Amino acid sequence: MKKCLIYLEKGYETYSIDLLRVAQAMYGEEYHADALTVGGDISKAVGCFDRIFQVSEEAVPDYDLTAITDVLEELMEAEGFHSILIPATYTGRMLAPRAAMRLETGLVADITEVEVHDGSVIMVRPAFSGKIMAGIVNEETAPIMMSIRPGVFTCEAPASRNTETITLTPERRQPPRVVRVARQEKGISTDIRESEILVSGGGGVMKHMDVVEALAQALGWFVSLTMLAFVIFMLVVIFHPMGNIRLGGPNAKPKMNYWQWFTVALCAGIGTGVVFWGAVEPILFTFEPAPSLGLEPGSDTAVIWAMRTTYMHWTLTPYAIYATFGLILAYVCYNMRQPFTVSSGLVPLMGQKALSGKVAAVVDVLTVFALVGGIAALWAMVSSSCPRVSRSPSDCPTVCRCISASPPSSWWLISAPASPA
Amino acid sequence: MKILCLVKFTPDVDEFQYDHEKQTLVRENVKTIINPDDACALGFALQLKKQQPEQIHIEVVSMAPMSAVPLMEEILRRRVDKAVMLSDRRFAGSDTLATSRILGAYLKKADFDVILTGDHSADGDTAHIPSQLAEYLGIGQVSAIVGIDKPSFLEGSPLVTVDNDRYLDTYQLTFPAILSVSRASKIRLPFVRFADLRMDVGDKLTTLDLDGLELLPEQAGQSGSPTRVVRTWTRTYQEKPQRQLVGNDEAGVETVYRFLKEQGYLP
Repeated sequence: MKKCLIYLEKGYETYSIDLLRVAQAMYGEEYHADALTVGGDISKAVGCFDRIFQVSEEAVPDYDLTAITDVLEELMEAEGFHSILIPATYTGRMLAPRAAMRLETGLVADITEVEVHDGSVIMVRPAFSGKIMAGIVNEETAPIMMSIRPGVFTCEAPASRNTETITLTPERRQPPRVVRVARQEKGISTDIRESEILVSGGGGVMKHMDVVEALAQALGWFVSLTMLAFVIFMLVVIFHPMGNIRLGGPNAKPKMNYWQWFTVALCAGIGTGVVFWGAVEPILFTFEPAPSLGLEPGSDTAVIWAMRTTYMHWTLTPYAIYATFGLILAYVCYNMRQPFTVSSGLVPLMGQKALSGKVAAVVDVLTVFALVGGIAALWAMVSSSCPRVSRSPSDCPTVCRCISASPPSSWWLISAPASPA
Repeated sequence: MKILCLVKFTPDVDEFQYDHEKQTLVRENVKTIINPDDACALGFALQLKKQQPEQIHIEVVSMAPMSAVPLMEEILRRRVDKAVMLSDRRFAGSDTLATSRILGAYLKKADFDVILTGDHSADGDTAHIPSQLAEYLGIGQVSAIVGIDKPSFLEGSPLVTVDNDRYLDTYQLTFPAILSVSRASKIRLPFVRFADLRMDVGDKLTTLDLDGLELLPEQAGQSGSPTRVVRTWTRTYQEKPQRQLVGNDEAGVETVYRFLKEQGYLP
């Protein structure tokens, strides 16, 4: 009877037991199934194997692959298995080649299918990044060894067996050459689609991302407050006597009437965005509320939060921001006759100094940088949402272009109607 | 410190085009590149060399046909100290065990403190060689490295960060050791400097064949390989027929949830 050994990996016990399906494919129902585990939970495996060889983690750490290979070699010498199956997990894919080298046998990696033709086992695996499949045989050496992709095979009803559990206490031949000194759970980061503010860090701060993260956390309230400040500023401008100042000079005549001006500004300002996101955001935020809020997706509180967020994004607040910026530039360029650059906006504060040398360079370069950053963030946001909200991915580029075009064009158009006649 | 970098030259698999009409993979006219993971490993060695040009000695070893000589020269022009090519027609058809034997035969005699290499190759994707070599040489090895701590590396006991799907683990090794660097480390291989573009590097390149490695013909190539590829085929992408498993929404949600969980898409 054929003898098969399966490595029952700690943390991947179910996947390992599923490998019995591979043994079944090779040998049919009549075969002898053994398992080896280092610190794994055998409760599910009892009843599926004839024997389970157990090594405690105190004797051998589950990452000490040299020691595990020693155990495998001794078992192989004593039992003479016909095949050794190892799940192709992180550890399995290091253990399998080590063991194959020690046993001087052929090894096939990351198997996704097993076929038997004329008594020889054909192991099928993807190659070239999964672009082609290869069928591989091992005819010359024993045992047949393979690492098998976890989750591909499922063994729903393994034959019931009387399991004998054998505890091994291997003698440590040498101290471990690799020591695990720390283990960190992989954290789930916040979804950028739900972020009010995006703080990006370049390669220079890669090792200090925690500082950047603290900044992002601290800035959360800052966005709402700044948006409110813009609205208040606009209200002040409207009701203050300075609201009577005519853009373009006291004698300027508007090119368009109010209605034309409003429609142009709306379409170019937030029109494209509001058509798309105005519909998408309430739905998106309802079913995927920001994880930090702990709201249940689809719940009433999530709906309220989604509407609140959408209102902040698409009503008076964005308009106040665009208008503040547009107003400053319009006043500086058309009333004060300064050049069409963002740094001109500083002339009322700093005088002509603002236009010469370093200040202008820094401000204008920062502006370009902010524009590029803003567009990049929009791209990221749109491209991450598009597959869910639009039917065909080919819609995305158009949408992206429209939205990313809006910040620069909005201030142009807000300032344009007041240009001198 | 002597760093030995193991490099494989692979076709640029991302360039492969799939012919949907003939349902085949077009593998022609694709350029050969340094395996992306190996480039990261070499990039790390060059970073150290830039900081300490006198202390760091880099040797690059590759088993490759002679047609890869221009690629190896490109590597040497990045101020690598020595390159060795293991090249012989009799190596053709080697599986991972035979390849490890060939590389191992050279490494057993080579003088190094640490071996840096890639996690897996873009074409074969077995990730066998680093582990098999570590076993052959009797030294420690860690795969899927995304970060190496430089100070501890220079002291001979590197702390490395590993991304193993579930956790970020930190391991400490002692030299000699094999470090398999993943492309997720995002370490870049620098370009050749303009002044070095025409550097003559012929004297730094050595070539060894089967006899030079003192191997027997039956240990290498097809005859030394226990495994053999019997056939290859391209995956065909076909529309799957629609299947109805359950009748109502309630059971549908449960079925889909269980399917996703089974396939490992859900925790």
